[in-house]
Amino acid sequence: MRIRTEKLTKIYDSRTGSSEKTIGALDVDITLDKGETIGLFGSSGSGKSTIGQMLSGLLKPTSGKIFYDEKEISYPFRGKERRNIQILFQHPEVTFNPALPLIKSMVEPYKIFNIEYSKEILIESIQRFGLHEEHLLRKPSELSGGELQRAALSRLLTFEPEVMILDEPTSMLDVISQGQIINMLREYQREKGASFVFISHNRTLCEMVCDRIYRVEHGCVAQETDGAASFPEKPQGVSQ
Amino acid sequence: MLEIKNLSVSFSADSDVLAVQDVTLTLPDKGRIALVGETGSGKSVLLLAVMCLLAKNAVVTGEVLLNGEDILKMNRKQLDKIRGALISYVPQGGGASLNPLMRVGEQVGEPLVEHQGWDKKDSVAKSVEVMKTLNMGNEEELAASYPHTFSGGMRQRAMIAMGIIAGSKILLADEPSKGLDEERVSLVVDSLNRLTEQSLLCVTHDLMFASRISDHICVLYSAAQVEFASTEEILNDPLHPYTRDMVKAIPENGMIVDNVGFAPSHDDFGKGGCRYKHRCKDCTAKCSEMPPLFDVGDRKVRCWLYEDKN
Ligand SMILES: Nc1ncnc2c1ncn2[C@@H]1O[C@H](COP(=O)(O)OP(=O)(O)OP(=O)(O)O)[C@@H](O)[C@H]1O
Ligand SMILES: Nc1ncnc2c1ncn2[C@@H]1O[C@H](COP(=O)(O)OP(=O)(O)OP(=O)(O)O)[C@@H](O)[C@H]1O
Ligand code: SF4
Ligand SMILES: [Mg+2]
Ligand SMILES: [Mg+2]
Repeated sequence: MRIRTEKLTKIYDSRTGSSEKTIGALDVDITLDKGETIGLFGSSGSGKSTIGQMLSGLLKPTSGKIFYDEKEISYPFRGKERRNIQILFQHPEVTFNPALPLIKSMVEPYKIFNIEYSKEILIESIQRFGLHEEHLLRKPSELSGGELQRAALSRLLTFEPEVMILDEPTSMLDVISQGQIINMLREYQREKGASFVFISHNRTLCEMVCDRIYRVEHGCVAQETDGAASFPEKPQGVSQ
Repeated sequence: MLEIKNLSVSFSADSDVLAVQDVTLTLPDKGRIALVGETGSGKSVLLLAVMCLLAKNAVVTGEVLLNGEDILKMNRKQLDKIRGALISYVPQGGGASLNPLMRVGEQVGEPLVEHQGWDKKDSVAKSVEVMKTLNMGNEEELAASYPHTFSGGMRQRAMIAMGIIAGSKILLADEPSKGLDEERVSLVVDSLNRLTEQSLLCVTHDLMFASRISDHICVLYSAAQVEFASTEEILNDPLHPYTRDMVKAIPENGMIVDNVGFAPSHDDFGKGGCRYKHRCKDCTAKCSEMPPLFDVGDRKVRCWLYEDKN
C-alpha cells in the first residue's frame, strides 16, 4: 500500500470568530496502491481539497494518521516523502511567484533537490505541454489560465513524484488539451508506477480516469461500489 | 447591443504576442454567445479588452461599440459609469480575484454601492439573497467571512453573484462553471437563464454548459476566430477541423483525442498559413496560406475546405 490514512480529520476554526467550527474532513480512511489512480469525487465544499492538502503534507490534520509505504508520516513532511508526494493546486497561480518571470519558479525544484538543469531542459519540459520559451520569460499574470495550469503540471513532474495529488488538474483546459494531458499523465504513471489522487467534480471524467472512486460528502468519505456509497448522517452546521 | 469590430490585441514584451486577431462579433440585445477554443487562444484577453481592463503593455485596435459608442475611446470617468452598471464582468481567476481583506458579502454587494448608490448594509443583505439563489449554504455566515475560508467552488459562485447583482444589461463571464459539480452548474445555468432581459458573452471550456446557456458559439484558435454558428450546429455538425476535433474530445462523447501537438507559438504566427495545419488531417498545399473567414449559409468558417460552399 503506497498511502493509507486512518481517521484523518480537519476541523477549521470558525470563519467569523464565533465558536462554531467548520468540518473540512472527518474520519477519512482511504488507501492508494502503487500505480493506482483513485478519484475523490464530490460536490463543491465537500472537503476534497482539504483531504488533498493533508495528503500532500501542506495542511496540518486536526487528528488522524497518514502512512506512506506503511510508515507513519506527519506534517510537515521531511526526507523522501517531501519530494515523492506532490500536489497540483486547484488554483495554479499559487504555485508561482507573481512578481517574477515564470522561469524563476520553474527552476526551483531543480535547485531544491540538486537536479542538473539547463535552459534547454526547461524548454523541452514545457514544450511537452504545449508551452514555448516565450512563456518562461513572462510573469504569471501574463499567461492564460490553462497555460499556468500546464506550467504548474510541468513543474510538478520535475520532482518525479511517486504520488501525485491532482486537484482539478484540467479545470482550465479545453477538451482536446484535457485529453492530451490525461494521456500524458497515464504514460508517466505506466513508466514510473506512480499513484494518483484525482480530484474532480466531473463524473464522466472521474470514471474514465480512475480505478476506484471515493465519494466525498460533508467531509466524510465512502468508497463507491457500483455507483452507491453510504454515508453517516449529515453533520450539523456545514456549508457547501 | 455590443458590437466588436476588427478587434486585435497584442502585447509588446521581449517578443510580440498577438493575442487576439481581427475579431468581429455582434452581441445583440438579449443575445447569448459562448466563446470557446484552445487554451491560450485569446478568450480572456478579448473579454478584458471589451472591459478596458488590459495591462498597459497591451496594444488594442478596432472598435467596441456599446449602443453605438466606442468603449475603447472612453476616458476613465466614462468607463467607471458603464462598468458594473451597463456591463459587468466575472473574471476567470479562481483564488486571486477576490480581495482577501474584504468580507465576501461586502465585495459581492460592492457594484450596488459603487454604481447605484446603495448603502452598504442593504447591499450586503442583497448579496445574501443572490448567494442564496446559488445555494451556497449558510449564506449569512458566508457573507461575513473572508474569502480564504471558501472552497474553490464557493469563490467561483461568489464571483458570479458579484457579476449578476447589479442587473447590468450585458454580462461578460469567464468560465463561470469552472470547478463546480453538476448540481451547482445547473444552479449557475438557472441564474444565467433567469437574466432574460440581459445579453451574455460567456467564455467556457465546458461545451455541455455552453449548450445550456448560449444560442451561438464563437470558436477561437490561436488568436483568430475559426468558426461561428448556432450552438446546435457547432455541437451536432461542426465544420472547421478544429471544431470537429474539439467536439470529439468532449468526455461525454468519449474523449477521443487522436490529434497530436499543440497550438503554434506566437513567434510562429508570422510564418503564415492556417494555424491549425500542423494538426489538421485535411491539410492541403493551399493551407500554407491563411484562409479568410468564409460565409457558409449563416455560418462563418475559416478553412479552405469551405471556399466554394457559400
Ligand atoms: N481556512 C479555512 N477556514 C475555515 N473553513 C475552511 C477553510 N478552508 C476550507 N474551509 C471549509 O471547509 C470545507 C471544505 O473545503 P474544501 O476546500 O476542502 O472543499 P472542496 O471539496 O475542495 O470544494 P471545491 O470543489 O469547491 O473546491 C468548506 O466548507 C470550506 O468552506
Ligand atoms: N499581459 C500579457 N502579456 C503578454 N502575453 C499575454 C498577456 N496576457 C495574455 N497573454 C497571452 O495571450 C494569449 C491569449 O491569452 P488568454 O488569457 O486570452 O487565453 P485564453 O483563451 O483565455 O486561454 P485559457 O483558456 O487558458 O484561459 C496567451 O498566449 C497568453 O500567454
Ligand atoms: S485551412 Fe487547411 S489546415 Fe486549416 S483547418 Fe482547413 S483544411 Fe485544415
Ligand atoms: Mg477544492
Ligand atoms: Mg482564459
